[in-house]
Amino acid sequence: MALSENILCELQRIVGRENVLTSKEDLIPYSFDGTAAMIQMPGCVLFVKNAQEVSSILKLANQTKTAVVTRGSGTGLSGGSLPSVDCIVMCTVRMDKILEVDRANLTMLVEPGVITLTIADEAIKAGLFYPPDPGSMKISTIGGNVAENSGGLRGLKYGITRNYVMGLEVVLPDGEILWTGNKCVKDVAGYSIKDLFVGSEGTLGVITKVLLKLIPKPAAKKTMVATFNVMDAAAQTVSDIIAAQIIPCTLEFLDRTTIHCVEDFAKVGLPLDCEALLLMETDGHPAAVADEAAKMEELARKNGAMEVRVAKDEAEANKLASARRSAFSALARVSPTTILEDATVPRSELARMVRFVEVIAKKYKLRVGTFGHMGDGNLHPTFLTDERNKEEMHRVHEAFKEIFDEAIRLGGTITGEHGVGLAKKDFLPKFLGEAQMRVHRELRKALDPNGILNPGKMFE
Amino acid sequence: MHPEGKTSLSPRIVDAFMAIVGKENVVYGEQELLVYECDAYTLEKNLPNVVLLPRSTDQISQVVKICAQEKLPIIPRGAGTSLSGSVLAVTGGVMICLSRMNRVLDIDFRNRRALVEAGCVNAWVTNAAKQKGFLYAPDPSSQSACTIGGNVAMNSGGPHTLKRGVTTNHVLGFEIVFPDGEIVWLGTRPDGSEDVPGYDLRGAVIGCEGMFGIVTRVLVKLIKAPQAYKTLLGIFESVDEASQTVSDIIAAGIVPGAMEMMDQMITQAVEAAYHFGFPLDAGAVLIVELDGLAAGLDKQADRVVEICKKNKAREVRIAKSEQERMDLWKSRKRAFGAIGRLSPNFLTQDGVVPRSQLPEIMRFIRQTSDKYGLRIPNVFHAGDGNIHPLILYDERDPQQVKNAVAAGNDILERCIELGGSATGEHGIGVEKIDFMAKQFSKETLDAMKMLRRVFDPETRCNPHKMFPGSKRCGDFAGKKQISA
Ligand SMILES: Cc1cc2nc3c(=O)[nH]c(=O)nc-3n(C[C@H](O)[C@H](O)[C@H](O)COP(=O)(O)OP(=O)(O)OC[C@H]3O[C@@H](n4cnc5c(N)ncnc54)[C@H](O)[C@@H]3O)c2cc1C
Ligand SMILES: Cc1cc2nc3c(=O)[nH]c(=O)nc-3n(C[C@H](O)[C@H](O)[C@H](O)COP(=O)(O)OP(=O)(O)OC[C@H]3O[C@@H](n4cnc5c(N)ncnc54)[C@H](O)[C@@H]3O)c2cc1C
Repeated sequence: MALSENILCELQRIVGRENVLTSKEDLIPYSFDGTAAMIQMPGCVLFVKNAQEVSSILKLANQTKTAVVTRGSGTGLSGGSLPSVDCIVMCTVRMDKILEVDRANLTMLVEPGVITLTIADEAIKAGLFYPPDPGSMKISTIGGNVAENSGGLRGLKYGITRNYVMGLEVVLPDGEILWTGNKCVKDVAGYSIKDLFVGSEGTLGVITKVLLKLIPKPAAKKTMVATFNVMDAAAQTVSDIIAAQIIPCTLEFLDRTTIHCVEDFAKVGLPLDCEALLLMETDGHPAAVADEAAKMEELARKNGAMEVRVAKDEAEANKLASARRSAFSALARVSPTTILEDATVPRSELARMVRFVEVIAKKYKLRVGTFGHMGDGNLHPTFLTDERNKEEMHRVHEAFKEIFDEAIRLGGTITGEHGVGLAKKDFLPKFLGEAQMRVHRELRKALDPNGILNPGKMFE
Repeated sequence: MHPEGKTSLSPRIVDAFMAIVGKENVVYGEQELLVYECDAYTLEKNLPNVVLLPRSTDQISQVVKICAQEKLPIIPRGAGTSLSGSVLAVTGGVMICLSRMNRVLDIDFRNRRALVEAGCVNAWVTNAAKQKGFLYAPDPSSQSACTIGGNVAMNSGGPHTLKRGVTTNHVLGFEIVFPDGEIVWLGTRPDGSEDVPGYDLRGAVIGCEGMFGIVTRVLVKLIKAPQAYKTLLGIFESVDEASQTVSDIIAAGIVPGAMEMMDQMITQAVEAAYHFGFPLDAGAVLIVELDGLAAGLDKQADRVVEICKKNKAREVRIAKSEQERMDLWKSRKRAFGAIGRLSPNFLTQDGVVPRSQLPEIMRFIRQTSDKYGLRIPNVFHAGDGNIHPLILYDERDPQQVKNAVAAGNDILERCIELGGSATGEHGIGVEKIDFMAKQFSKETLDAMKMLRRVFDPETRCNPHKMFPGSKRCGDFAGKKQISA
């Protein structure tokens, strides 16, 4: 541990001794996030309680040129909250208060450490709805969601985190605290600073409050599962549903490997004799829901679905949805290392991309499970491997390179929703090009001239 | 009239421009330039040195590179319908007008997007998509004239903002020429997926009032046109009760396509002009339009009627046919026209408050009206909390002119105090510069200025706008203003 005694003392003074971790054993849980094969011990971990403390810490960090990495729950899948050498990890999980639910204006004001699921539950209690539901919602923080601009199962119809952020309190790298946004549904005064911080992966500032937009709860919902014995049929069903101008709130896909792992893990009674499974959900007005559900069922059957199972009630619907949410954890159980990737292609290219992943897995003799938000064209090919097997890891990397190149060739991107972080750093310049990289660098430099905030992440 | 630091332009440079865009696409000479001396905010005027009407991104890039070399101000312009003077050439400069780059280039119904040139008129996008049942959602009242590029620059809204959001929610990406002449695509590419890694530069440029570069092509989202509409008009005893109805409708989980309100004075003027049969003693009229699948609408409409009645609506009319629906909307759309009967001049403001503060801001407007002895009728986007008080005055009376400006300022300051903003849709431009420091902290203003310098280190693109301390065009003429 190479943080100087002086700095540590000062940090203890700012947040209180009980909110600083320094011993090796205490630091280990903070030396990685949800990303495979990345570990780095921090210099210390702090639990902050308010913006003022964050501000003091960042000022100190600037004076002493110490790196600071903001961390929510550490579920990130691109190494965003991975510590840098001897850095201060600033953890927001104790800033976990819901500050206000405003029913008249349909907003909720929260601290950044509030768990996503808590927000969703709190909204339901008020008769309202907070749609973004990342697979990790039981543990991820809203600060992490905003910083990663996380998506979720309902992204297709309801959009992603960005669409629900109305205002932010942000502590800039120099310690200045600023507020951007308000409770109005429109406001065009000044530039839209808020948009910069959403998705900035902890590099431009520390989010200390979030004003969220809520919407009325949909009156009805229908959930169903369709199984197919060829992957293409599932992809074609997705295309047909979209072409029929239906926007379901969920259109999720699991391949054979994933289905087996999930069933093993969650025992929801998924059919095991199929190649692909679609989880489909529509919500809204009861009449519209009935109509859309019938159409989706018809389209699945037209494409040769083996079975279409409609959830009888809310309980069964929730069971099916949580089966999908557990896909990653389920895959993670069966191999020492799971490397989940994140590629998005235009919807019309989905079938081609899924097939390509299969071919590549065969070519490199790897086990892959693919699942994803089919409606958004967002796929998560997940390789089941073992990081101790150097030779196999090499093949995994080669496979990913080909998958990324194909995704970009099909007009897609390398990160749907898990961010750039450390894992995708090399791909960012490829995608953005030099002119945009220059703007990125200048923007970051202007806000963070000493490069103290999450250094080395996203881009150099 | 002109502030110091007026731009001068040598004939040599004009020749260079002509060589790039063609002689016929250069407007030069005082007489011809008069059209470009202001936008729909007419209280301040000034001539640009030259106006260019390029036909391609490449031409714009070349022109902008020359401007960069010569350190000339550039002012992007669409249709010039801005209501805040955001197109004003404060110190002259090179105005680059997109009106000849106005094509719909491609519509991809499968992925629900359209690629258009920035000078494309807003309404043309929907026109091009409508035969297949799609539309482009943001619909400013100026939509038959204003351009998509202007909408991007202003982040424009419209009557359907409440349900569908504003421009930034419907623009996936665009091509922009940076102030140094570089051409860059920001956000989703025409053939790319919606997710884009890195910072959201797209979002940062939308609403920048033309200060970060010139937008040349825009990729917009299309949405399915609603299957059916149900339009209701409620007549209330008071603005308070009508405002409460707005809140109650939202609280009931109904998000109408539009909710528009007119107060007593406007209602009377509309009635006198067009005879819709509104009772002259009604306190307020509220139009609620529901849209979506036909199946659910009747029930929702019943619920809205119930809520209106609970708030003591005297009468609720439901349009029974498309013709009746059009008639109901006519009363709203003609409201501004009817003002001419009330007063020779009016000044309109564009403040916005959280919806729950509507009754409070309406009370404040009444007090302000009393305080300055000016009549202030109101017609506004109630569902959005976006007010448009019309301050009536007579320009021949200098005291009234002063009072009108003061009343407008008081109202906007109150909006800010109530957690709102000085502008919901018209922008800061030159008009509302003074409100920036009232609405934003020094830290936030500094962050905005920093952002501007990242895109435009020399602050040459649409200069002297938005920020406190910017140059002004001398004194205000008390002229009549167009309004939304
Ligand atoms: C099982 C599983 C399923 C997942 N499913 C999804 C999914 O469906 N969709 C999806 O989008 N993602 C998903 N993820 C990824 C991850 O959960 C999200 O990125 C999540 O938003 C991270 O939240 P966190 O609190 O864990 O943030 P962390 O991992 O702690 O941090 C993520 C990044 O945000 C920054 N950050 C955190 N808090 C703040 C703050 N207050 N201010 C500024 N920066 C901050 C960090 O510096 C870091 O760069 C999944 C992850 C797992 C493990
Ligand atoms: C009768 C009337 C009704 C209106 N109703 C509404 C309404 O309901 N809602 C609403 O939001 N607004 C409304 N407005 C305001 C105005 O129409 C909008 O601000 C509109 O977006 C301006 O578009 P424009 O093409 O006329 O742009 P201009 O007025 O020409 O320019 C506006 C700003 O955009 C910049 N700009 C223009 N084109 C580009 C480009 N290609 N690249 C970069 N910057 C560019 C300019 O520099 C300027 O700063 C109304 C105006 C009028 C006159």
